[in-house]
Amino acid sequence: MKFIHIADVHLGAVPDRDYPWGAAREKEIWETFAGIIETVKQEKTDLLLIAGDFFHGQPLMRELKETAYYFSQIPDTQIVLTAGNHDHLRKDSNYLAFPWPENVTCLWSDHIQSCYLEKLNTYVYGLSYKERENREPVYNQTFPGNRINFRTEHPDAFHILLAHGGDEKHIPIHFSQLAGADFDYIALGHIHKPEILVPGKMAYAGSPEPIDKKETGPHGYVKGTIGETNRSVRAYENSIGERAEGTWQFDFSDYTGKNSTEIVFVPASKREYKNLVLHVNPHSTRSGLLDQAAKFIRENGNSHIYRISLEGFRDPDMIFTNLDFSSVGNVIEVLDETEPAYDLEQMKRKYAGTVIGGFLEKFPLDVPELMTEVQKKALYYGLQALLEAQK
Amino acid sequence: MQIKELYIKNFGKFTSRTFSFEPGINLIYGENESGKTTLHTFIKSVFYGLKRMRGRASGKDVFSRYEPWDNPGYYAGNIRFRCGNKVFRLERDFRNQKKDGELICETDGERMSLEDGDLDMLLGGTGEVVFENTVYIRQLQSRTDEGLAAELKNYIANYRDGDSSVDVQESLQLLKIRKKELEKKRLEAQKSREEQKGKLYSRIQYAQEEIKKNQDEWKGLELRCRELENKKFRSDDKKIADQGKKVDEDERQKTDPPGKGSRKKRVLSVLIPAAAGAGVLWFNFQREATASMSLSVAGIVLLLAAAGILVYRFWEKRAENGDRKGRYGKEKQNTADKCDGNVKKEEIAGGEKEQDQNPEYIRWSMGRLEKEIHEKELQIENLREEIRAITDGDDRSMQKNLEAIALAAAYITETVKDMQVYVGKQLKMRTSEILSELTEGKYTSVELDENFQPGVHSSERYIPLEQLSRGTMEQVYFSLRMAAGEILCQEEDLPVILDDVFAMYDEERLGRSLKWLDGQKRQVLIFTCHKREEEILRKLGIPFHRVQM
Repeated sequence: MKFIHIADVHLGAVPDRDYPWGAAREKEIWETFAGIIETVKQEKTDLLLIAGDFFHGQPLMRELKETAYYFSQIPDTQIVLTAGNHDHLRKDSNYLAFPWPENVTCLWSDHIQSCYLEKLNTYVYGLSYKERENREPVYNQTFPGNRINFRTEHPDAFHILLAHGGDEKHIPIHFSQLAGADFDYIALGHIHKPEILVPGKMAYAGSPEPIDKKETGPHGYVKGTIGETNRSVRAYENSIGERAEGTWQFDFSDYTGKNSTEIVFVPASKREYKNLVLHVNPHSTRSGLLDQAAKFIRENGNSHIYRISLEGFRDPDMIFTNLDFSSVGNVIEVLDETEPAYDLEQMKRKYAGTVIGGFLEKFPLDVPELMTEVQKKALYYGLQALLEAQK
Repeated sequence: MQIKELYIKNFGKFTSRTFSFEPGINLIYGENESGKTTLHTFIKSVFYGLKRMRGRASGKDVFSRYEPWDNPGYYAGNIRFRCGNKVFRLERDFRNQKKDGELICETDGERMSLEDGDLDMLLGGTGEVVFENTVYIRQLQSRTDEGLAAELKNYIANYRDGDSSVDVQESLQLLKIRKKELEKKRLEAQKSREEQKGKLYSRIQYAQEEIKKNQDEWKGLELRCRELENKKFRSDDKKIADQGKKVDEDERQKTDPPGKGSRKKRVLSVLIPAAAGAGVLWFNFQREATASMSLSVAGIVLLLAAAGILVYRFWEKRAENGDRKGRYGKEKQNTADKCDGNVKKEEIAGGEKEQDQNPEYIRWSMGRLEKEIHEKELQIENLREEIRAITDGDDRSMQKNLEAIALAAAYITETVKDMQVYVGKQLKMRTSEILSELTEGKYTSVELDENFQPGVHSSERYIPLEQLSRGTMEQVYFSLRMAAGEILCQEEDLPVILDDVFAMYDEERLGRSLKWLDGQKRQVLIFTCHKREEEILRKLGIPFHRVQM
């Protein structure tokens, strides 16, 4: 069975609102989603899983109508949807009354509920957020040994869990235990950076488009297939487990699941946030750094959004803190972590017996690792001021 | 430590020149522009090396200034000096990047290590800046008395801070400026965040206004509906009125509290036929009627009973209807029903009406408005969430920078205080001693009042600096410099270089100064372009060594 797992689409979000590229980003989130639907259509994907935070806030009717249109374009694909913390189900949420197309199943309960997709012989489990936060580790119920209503009417069906959460305020998850639960695939949502936690078993799809500058790297969706091997074996184990309640421990050392599930991450975002480190030395100049940055941006893609950090030792006379990189590309952040290239040992000697020397004595220059960041900065601030105030 | 000999291979205007010195007083005589400054810069450069400066300073730094005019390939020289009972030779090649100097002990032939600080030891740990500010002494620059006093005061003020190489107050001021710059940046960031929030707030406000408009519109529509309903009662058309009355009556009955009114009617519907039946029977009884008459009487009774039942059932059903209608509590529904009833009325009346007379359309509009209001409320909720998400982030690094600046200022102040305490006391003491000697007891001590303003004590009174003569001020300065020199390089008596210091001295003062210098252990190099020093030295019988530039 072929499936695509997406999460945290955040339709409606306007990332980097006040930057020149902000308006484009809002559109791109919709475009990438439309692209994924198109892929589903082309590849004839059987199942589309949406693990929460589909919308950035409470969905508006017109937004729901747009997504319903997209869903209606793939009528042969089953779609399962849960609400995350951002698009949580208020009592008056448009989600509840909305006339979803036939191929869409919504799991709106705030307790783990399941649905059975007959065409695919698959159970999908999941829950939705009713509030902005949920500190209960609700998914613990699915751990081996805990009671969970594993549906058994169709013994050779696939079992998939949709789980939105994974931090303290949003359903904390004990990942290694969850990985042992008897699902063929666990589709996680909430963390925007994609990550395959357990190959073939459990993954965060990540947001299809990055929403915040911290979300560097590729973004897209998870594509997978669930095979049909070993099902008889599994069914046998299932029935044994039921007969003697509580005395059986399933062996989950083979974490890839009894059915062979294979998943792969597919990059799909129109842009990425990228880190750019500029190495500074005492010969670096402002124009030189701008050129360096321009070259890097040209080579790595003008459309991406860059976070620049300056590292190294600079000529003490040079100042790079207010360098304006906006002319060379989409730059959202510039961090100046350069230190002035003073030969401190030599200076301590040269200025021994003077204020500067006495000032330098206040710092553990022979064990610089012991200095805190504030101390280091104080050293340079003070030294620069004293040198400038020389007669 | 005493300098024995300078060999200038190539430095400034000098090429392959040797200068020899003796312990005690050395008088170096040379006209102006003969290279005195070059010479003592050479001394400092040999002792402390000469690094080429980068960036802004590279054009004007010492390295460039003294690059030899001729034969620029060489830029080097050496100094031979005595330290303790050994003689050392310190060679420098200013061009050599890798190894710019060598230190050799001539006495025992040992090659020493500059990197390991052997030279520092010989110099008694005196750093370059202290060397420059104590060993080498210039005269006061000012030509006027007031200027002189100010200059001297400034000098002493800087010594309050431990040394005169740095204007500490200025450095603290510079730190303050940096702090202000950072705080301004922080405020700007805050302001931009507030602006962002402001934009979102105004969108919320706009949405709220829209909601209010919608609500008003809705209320208007509701009113309209009621109006249309009221119009019915005032209609002139009789048929409609009749119909209307009938329907109204139905309605009134329908909306009557269930069961109450119609119960009466139900009871009556039973009683009346019962009473009629009883009456007929009684009548029959009284009359002793025939069989056929009895039969017809029975038939009448039966008919009456049936009628009673029928009427009863009729009223019962009416009561049920009333119940059902009463259960619809919402006013909206009543309104709608009334409007519905009106539809029928209008249909009865015949003819098409405009939309705003058409209650069905009105009801639809109201529903649509409700949906719009809901959407706007959701939008407002989403905007509020966005405002919440605008965090006061990224302030940590700003915070660290501000902390660092405060720490730097604190450390500088601490350093200064430490030096003050140490240096200040000693400086005052020693300066006073020297001054006393130089003035042969006329001025006994130098004093700094609470504002660190200097003055001198004579045996009788305290005299602020401005009231002293130029010559005395020069002597105070001289005492201060000599005292500072002693204190700041305590471990090793370094030679002292006086560059044309005595130009403004009168003969008597000059004599006393020279006598005092003679009494010192330190080697003295007096640069001068006058003959006076020589004359007085000879006159006073003070031994000295003469060097011609």
